Amino acid sequence: MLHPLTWLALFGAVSAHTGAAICFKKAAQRTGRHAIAIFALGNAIGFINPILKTIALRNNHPNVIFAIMGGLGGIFFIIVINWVFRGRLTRFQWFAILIIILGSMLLQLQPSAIR
Amino acid sequence: MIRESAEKPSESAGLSFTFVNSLSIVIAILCLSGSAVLFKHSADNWDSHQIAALIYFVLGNAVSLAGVIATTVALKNNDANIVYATIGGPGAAVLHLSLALVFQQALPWWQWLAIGIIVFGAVMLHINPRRLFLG
Repeated sequence: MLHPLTWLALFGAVSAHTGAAICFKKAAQRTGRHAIAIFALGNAIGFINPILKTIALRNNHPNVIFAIMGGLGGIFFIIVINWVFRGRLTRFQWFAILIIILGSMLLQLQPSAIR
Repeated sequence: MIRESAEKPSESAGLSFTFVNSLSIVIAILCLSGSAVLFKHSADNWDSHQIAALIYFVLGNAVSLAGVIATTVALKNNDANIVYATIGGPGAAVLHLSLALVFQQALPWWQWLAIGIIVFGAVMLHINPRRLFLG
């Protein structure tokens, strides 16, 4: 099981990644100084991602950390992006979310639960 | 009007495997895995060798930036869904294999199975079947 602080670092890293993506999309929709300011803000927020990712990797298995970031992080990213830009998830994507949640639950199983 | 639309690259044109596209996808995949390994080295060295950890961290960011540039090149004139699925699927496989080879930390079989399931789900999550299969 991962330490609560590791979960917090992972959540922060994923939030930074999502926040940066939103800023870049908003910057792409605007022009002039406003676009440059949002682009710079996106880069500043995005830089938090590798810092928190490195903190999460301390004393943890790298495969587990990257699987959680790609899986649960991907769910967070796609739901927030669709909410902000008023998109709709397809049934295919909801099915993918279900698969990731099942995989994440399996990843958290302890040896005692299997044997 | 017809001529104008014919000249514009179609967003749902799929992925054309030109040399530049293929090379940029391979570079993006290698950079994704390389930066992950460098960040893990940085995390492992943080307590004992802080300067080495800082160098690994900076290198990880530089490699990551190279990956972003390669992804941008691959995205030019190609469907974003297919580019991300192409980089995300094999990229995640290369990432997990390289992490397992470099750090050689043991995991029980069900956690490897779980990683495989999550990677499969994450690739599915970024595919929009309406655009991919129905055009």
